[in-house]
Amino acid sequence: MTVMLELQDVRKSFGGLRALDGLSLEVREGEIVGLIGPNGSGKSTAFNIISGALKSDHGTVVFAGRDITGLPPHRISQLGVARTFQVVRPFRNLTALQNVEAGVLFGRRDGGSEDPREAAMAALERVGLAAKAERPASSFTIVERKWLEVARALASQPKLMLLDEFMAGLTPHEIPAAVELIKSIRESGVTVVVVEHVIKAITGACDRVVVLDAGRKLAEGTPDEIVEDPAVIAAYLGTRHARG
Amino acid sequence: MSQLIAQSIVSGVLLGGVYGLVALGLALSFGVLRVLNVAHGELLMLGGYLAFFAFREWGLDPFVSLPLVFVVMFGFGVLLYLCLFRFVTRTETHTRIKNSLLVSFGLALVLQALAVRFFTADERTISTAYSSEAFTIWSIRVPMVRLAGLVVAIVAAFVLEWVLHRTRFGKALRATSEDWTRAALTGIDVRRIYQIAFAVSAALAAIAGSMVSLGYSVSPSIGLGWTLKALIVVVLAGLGSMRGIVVAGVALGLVESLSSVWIGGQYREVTALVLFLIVLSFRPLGFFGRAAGA
Amino acid sequence: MRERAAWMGLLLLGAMVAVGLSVGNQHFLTLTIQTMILATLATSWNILGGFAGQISLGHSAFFGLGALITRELWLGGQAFPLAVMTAVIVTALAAFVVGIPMLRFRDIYFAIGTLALGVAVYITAGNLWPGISSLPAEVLRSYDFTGPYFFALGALVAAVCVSVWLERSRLGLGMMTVREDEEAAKATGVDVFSHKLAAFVISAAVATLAGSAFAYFSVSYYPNFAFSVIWTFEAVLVVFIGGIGTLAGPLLGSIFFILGRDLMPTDVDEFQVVFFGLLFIVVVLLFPGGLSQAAGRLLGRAGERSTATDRPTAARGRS
Ligand SMILES: Nc1ncnc2c1ncn2[C@@H]1O[C@H](COP(=O)(O)OP(=O)(O)O)[C@@H](O)[C@H]1O
Ligand SMILES: [Mg+2]
Repeated sequence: MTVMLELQDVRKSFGGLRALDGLSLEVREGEIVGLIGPNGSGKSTAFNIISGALKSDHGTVVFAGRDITGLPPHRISQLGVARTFQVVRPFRNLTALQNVEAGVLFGRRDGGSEDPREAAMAALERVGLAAKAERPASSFTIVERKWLEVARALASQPKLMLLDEFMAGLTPHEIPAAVELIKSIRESGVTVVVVEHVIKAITGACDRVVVLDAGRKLAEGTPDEIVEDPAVIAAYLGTRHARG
Repeated sequence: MSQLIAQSIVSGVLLGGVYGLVALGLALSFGVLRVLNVAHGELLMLGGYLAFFAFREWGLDPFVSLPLVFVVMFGFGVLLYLCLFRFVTRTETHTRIKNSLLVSFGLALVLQALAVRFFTADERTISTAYSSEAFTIWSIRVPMVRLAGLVVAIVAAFVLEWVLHRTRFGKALRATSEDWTRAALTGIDVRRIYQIAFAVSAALAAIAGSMVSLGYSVSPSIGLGWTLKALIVVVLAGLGSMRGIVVAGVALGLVESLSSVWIGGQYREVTALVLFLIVLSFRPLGFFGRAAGA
Repeated sequence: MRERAAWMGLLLLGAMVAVGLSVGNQHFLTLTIQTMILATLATSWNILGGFAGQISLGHSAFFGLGALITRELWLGGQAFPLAVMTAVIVTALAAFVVGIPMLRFRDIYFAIGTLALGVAVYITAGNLWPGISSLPAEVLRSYDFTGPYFFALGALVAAVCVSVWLERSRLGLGMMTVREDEEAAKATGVDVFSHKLAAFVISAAVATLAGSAFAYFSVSYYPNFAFSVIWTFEAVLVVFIGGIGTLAGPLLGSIFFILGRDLMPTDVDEFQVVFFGLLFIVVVLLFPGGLSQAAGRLLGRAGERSTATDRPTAARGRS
């Protein structure tokens, strides 16, 4: 399988704090990779660097065979990297439909040859928000906003989707649906990286898990291998996050 | 020529002291409450009138009326906070700054119009017996009443720094300014801090106004100009230290008066504004830079 | 709801225009022209401030530049339409050049920066053109309100058309995403800076038209008056009172402002400022939707019973 995303020795400091300390990782086409690690281990920072929201101090990011290090975020988005945010960021005063239309009109390289409205409705359909298409995003619940962000990201027809703390804030009975959604995204041919700090929440969905600790890769493997890994158990699973 | 330059350096430094003094109050309200009060110059104007009328009606020397001006405008600041800015501070930082800009813009229009109504549009200056006194070194004139502006600015900066770093209240104030949610969690009464900080900010503007009506002049329309000066100084100096603000004020005064020698009096403010824009473009996030990202 | 209010704004304005022409009352004509000039300026500010979310306090620079260039060329013997076209092009270019550094400032820094720029331009204009600009005798002899009236009307129609187009276009949607959340907009593929710059340039070009109308209409004024921050302040006031980010807002706000000012007691000028200043504060704090939302609600409630069928259309917004 071809490599969809590759990080090589990526470093990023905020003042004296090393948020990423030489992170390298690889995501193959069609995979669902879980990126886990305790709070502050650098997961969101990694997403910010891949998507271009932050510039790395060192290292390269290669996406679909192309070096995208340092490209502006909107270019990276147009190349096929879509993301959601840890703290949801829908366009609050726009309708759900407008939110998603923006994804169609700006995120696609061809600018959306389909009718943007229909394409946007289709994306809303996929997350079950079609009935609320004309409502402003500000009237949505947190969970609905999450779904809306996913629809906006899907609407840009990405090759790679970065989901930050996708399960956080969901009630236990909402989690299976979220897992199904992640799988369905992969079914439609999109590679997925999903960040989580509660390991249990995503092991069911992931093919592979990469564990971050203090800005470095601590371990990687299948979900089953990871929970057995002594280094992971010592550094991470021993904390209350694992049980939560 | 060098005589002229030396004289404008002195005038610039003296005027710059007042710039620093106005900016102290603005830095306080912005730093602590995260509200941008563009009516700050109007508060200065009111303070100036207060000193002027205290002098004309009751014969109070502007230095004697200084505590009075401080107290009255402190009270007015409390009132403004309770009636207006309290509502602004209820929103999260981003909307807070935008809304405070808008609300204080409306406030500035209202205060200016009221000043025209009640004080007339005339320019006023306090002329005391000592107003024209000056001492001369190397044939450079240093007017006493203008020197007073600089001295008051320096004293105010030191007092503020002392309060901020040496008192319990100052500690609470700094904690609130850094992160109000965390401050609230440690038991600090954030709303009281806000109220006092805003009131002190207004009172400082008014003190500056006293000095302006003594050494220069006040009229209802001076507000915007002074607000701009204060904004420029705060953006240049940042919110780090009060002394730094007075220094930046003096620097602005210097630049202005030197540019009026070299470029021409009618461009002194333009020079300062253009210089400000250039500096701002090197640090486009100004004093709020640390809030970037995330 | 929004569309209803927009229609109402247009209707009110249409009524004013029609009445102004048929009555031929000089005072009412003057008010109508003033309303149209302010509405054009406010609409242009709304493109930048309401659609793209960039609060500019230096808007008077574009109004002033438009007025200055138009007036100089026109009184210098150029045909008026050509003078206007030149003014629009030059101002748009100036906005492009100035916009590149200015738009790197975010939020209040943009507001402060544009304010500084506006004040600097105002002072400079006063220094360079100190003399009063009066219409020469031969122009004055044939002067009546008809020309300025129709030009101001045309400028306003153009401004509204640009706004309508933006509300429905990809460019306009991009501007609104920038207003809502720059980070999210970037992640969605929006080139944030280009959209800000486009809003800045379009807004300046439309403001120029308002300035041209002012230059055409005014018999004599000091050229720097057109650069005065008062113009920015009035535009901001009117947009917020009318309803920021809407089509109808700038129109309703302008009508309310000019007519309201005219109806208020003239012996106390300051009263008007106090009134509008307080109203502005109240709107910002309590009714961020402004008049157009209030009007939309009222009309919506009235229309609910009678025409239930037109609701889906009214709610559609963008098509
Ligand atoms: N914009 C920023 N400025 C300063 N520090 C930051 C910024 N973003 C993240 N950090 C710091 O970098 C570290 C890693 O953060 P983050 O990537 O958000 O962790 P995670 O997503 O794994 O919880 C944390 O210590 C955080 O405080
Ligand atoms: Mg995170």
